[in-house]
Amino acid sequence: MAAGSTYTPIATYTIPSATASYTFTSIPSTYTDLVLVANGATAAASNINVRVGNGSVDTATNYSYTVLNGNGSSATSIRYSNQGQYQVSNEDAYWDTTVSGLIIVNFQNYANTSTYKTMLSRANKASLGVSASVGLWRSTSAINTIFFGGSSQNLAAGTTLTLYGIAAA
Amino acid sequence: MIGAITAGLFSTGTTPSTNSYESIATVTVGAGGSSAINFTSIPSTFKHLQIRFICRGTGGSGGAPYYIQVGNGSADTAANYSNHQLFGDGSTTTASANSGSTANCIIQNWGGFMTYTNTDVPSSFGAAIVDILDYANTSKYKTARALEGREGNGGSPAGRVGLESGSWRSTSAIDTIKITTDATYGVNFAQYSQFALYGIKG
Repeated sequence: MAAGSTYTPIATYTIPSATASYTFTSIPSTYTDLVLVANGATAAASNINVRVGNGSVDTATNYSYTVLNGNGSSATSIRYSNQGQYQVSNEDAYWDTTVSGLIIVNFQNYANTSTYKTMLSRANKASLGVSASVGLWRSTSAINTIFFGGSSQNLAAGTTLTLYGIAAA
Repeated sequence: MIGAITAGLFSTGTTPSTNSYESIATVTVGAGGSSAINFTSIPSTFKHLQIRFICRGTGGSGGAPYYIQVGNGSADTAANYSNHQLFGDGSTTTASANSGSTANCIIQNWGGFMTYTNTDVPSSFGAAIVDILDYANTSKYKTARALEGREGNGGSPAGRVGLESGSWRSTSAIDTIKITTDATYGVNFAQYSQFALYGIKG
């Protein structure tokens, strides 16, 4: 019944020196879902932006997302519509210089060409808080490009980005 | 599982083993829609199960929930479950729980309505990742958790993100999973909804 091994590392990148962003390109369409695991820091307090695209990064306002945050004393929720990015580390779980942040973004059915793309993310920052979010890219194009970057600050050297592919039977 | 891979990756600097995560079965809903997704005869050879899916409902408006029941031989429809939910809809947060006679699913987001239906935001599908832990163990009750959400760029109904946990009060191994949406409102799973079941080895 089982179809064999999956959950395959596609690419891993370690930021060598402070830089604004990193983009995964030419992502194969042979998987069902993608998972991006990011562990790192920024030059100063900054949210983290994810953008996607087909052939190039879509920088238009085709993104929206809803966030659930917890900061140790309260839980809040906020929505952003018609955005130029999906901010996966937001409000209570943004990145800074001190403690590494951890973000896991799931790109569900990223290669299908019939639906908009839904993304689920969890962001964790032990010193600040946690968040869960859902993001939408309003395009039926397959995703083959993923951008990851600080919204206002550079990604710090040593930040690691690993992209996995999960293939369904 | 992600946590395990991450720990391996970042603590040792070595590439994690990825041969412990296998695809078991996938259901893609066709043009006619589907009232239920059934995974049966699930082998007991894994340690944990993960279901990853996108879904949308047919008919009606205002979103729809989905329900996940588990069982051995057949899905248990009795009130042998309990669950908790934490939702955010962009302005408020809501915590809810089900137990006793109202709890007949291990994942039961009827308070969250985590996907869209026919006349809602076009082309947008709800998504979820559900982990069912130690599913074949015959010495303890079974526990599940979910990360889920729908997003519609400000359309109606509002986007929503949620976390759930659930328990099935049975020591039987799980070999059956049934996922349904809300037949009360004539809602089935719509075309392009896709449900993928994976096994994670211990």
